[in-house]
Amino acid sequence: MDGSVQPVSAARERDRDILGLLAEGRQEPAFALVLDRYERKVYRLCVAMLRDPDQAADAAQDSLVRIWQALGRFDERAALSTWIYTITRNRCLSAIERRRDHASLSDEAVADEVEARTADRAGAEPDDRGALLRDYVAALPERYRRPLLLYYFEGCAVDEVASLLGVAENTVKTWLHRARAMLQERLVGAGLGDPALWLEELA
Amino acid sequence: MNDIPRQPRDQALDAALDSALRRELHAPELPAGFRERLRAAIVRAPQLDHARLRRELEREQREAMAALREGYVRMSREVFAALVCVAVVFGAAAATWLPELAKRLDLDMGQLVALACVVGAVAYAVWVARRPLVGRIMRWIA
Repeated sequence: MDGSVQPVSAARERDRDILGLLAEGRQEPAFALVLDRYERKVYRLCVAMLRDPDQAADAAQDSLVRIWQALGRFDERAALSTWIYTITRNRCLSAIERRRDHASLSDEAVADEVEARTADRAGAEPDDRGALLRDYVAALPERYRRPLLLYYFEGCAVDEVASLLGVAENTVKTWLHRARAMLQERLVGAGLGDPALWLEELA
Repeated sequence: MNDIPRQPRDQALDAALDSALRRELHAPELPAGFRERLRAAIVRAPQLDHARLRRELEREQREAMAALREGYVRMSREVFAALVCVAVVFGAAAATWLPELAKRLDLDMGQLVALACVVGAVAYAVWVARRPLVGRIMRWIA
C-alpha cells in the first residue's frame, strides 16, 4: 500500500478510550466499544470488497472474531483503526482467493453482462434507471469500484475511504476521479439521449 | 465531492452523476441478528494457542531460511561455473597469444607467467575482498 492514510495521532486520539481499557486489561468493554465504532465500517468494507452481502456478513463476522481474539495483544504500533481494517481486508482477500476456485466473473465479463442488459433501457422507469446505474458501478474495475462505493457509503469522506483501503488520500482521489470519468463515458456511450437529464430524472 | 480533482467535460453531467450516486449508493445496513451471531461465534471461537502460533511462525521462518539458503547455494554454483568458463576462455586466449606477447614485451616465458600470476592474484584478492582491500591499497599508495 502506498503511504499513511491519516495522521496516526488523530486516529489514536479517537480510540484513546479503547486503548485505555485495553491498558487496564478490560478486553470485554474495549471490544464492546470497538463494535460500536467499527462494526458497520467493517461490514461496509466487506461489502465493497466482496460484492455479495452474505459473503460480506461472513467475512465481517470472521474479521471481528479475529479482532476479538487478538485485541488483548494489540501493541499500538499502528492506529487501532488501521489494524482493524488490515485484518478485515486480509479476511476479504482470503475470501476472494477461495472464491477464485469457483467460477467467478471477471471485470470484463461483468461489463459485457451490463452491456447486454442495458441495450434498451434508455426509456426505462426511474427505478430501473437506478438499477442500471448500480449495474454500471458494478461493472467498474475493482480498483475503482471499491473506493467509489466506500466514498458514498462513508458520507463522501475521502480520508475515511483512504483509511479503510489502507492507501493515501491522493490515491483515493485519483481512483474516484477515474471511476467517475468511466461512468460518464459509459453513460454518454449508452445512447441515453442527454445523460445529465437522464440522471436527473432518477430523482 | 468538492475535494476531488475533476476536469469534467460536462459540469452538468458531473453534478447529475454525483447526485444520482448519492441517491443510489446507500451504506448497507448490518444484516438482522448480526450482533447475536457474532457473539455466538466469539463464544465458539477457540482462544488463540500461543504455543501453536509460535511453532507455526518458527516453521515458516525455517522454511524461509531454507529457501534463502537454497537460492544462495544455487547462485554460488552459478558464479563458480561462470568463473570456470571465464578461466577456460582466458587460458585458451593466453595459450594462443602468450608467445606473441612474450615476443613483443621482450620477456621470457617464465617472467610472463610470473607477471600473469601477480595480476591474477591481485584480481582474485580484489574480487574476494572488494572494497576493504582496495581501500587498504589506496591508503598504502597514499
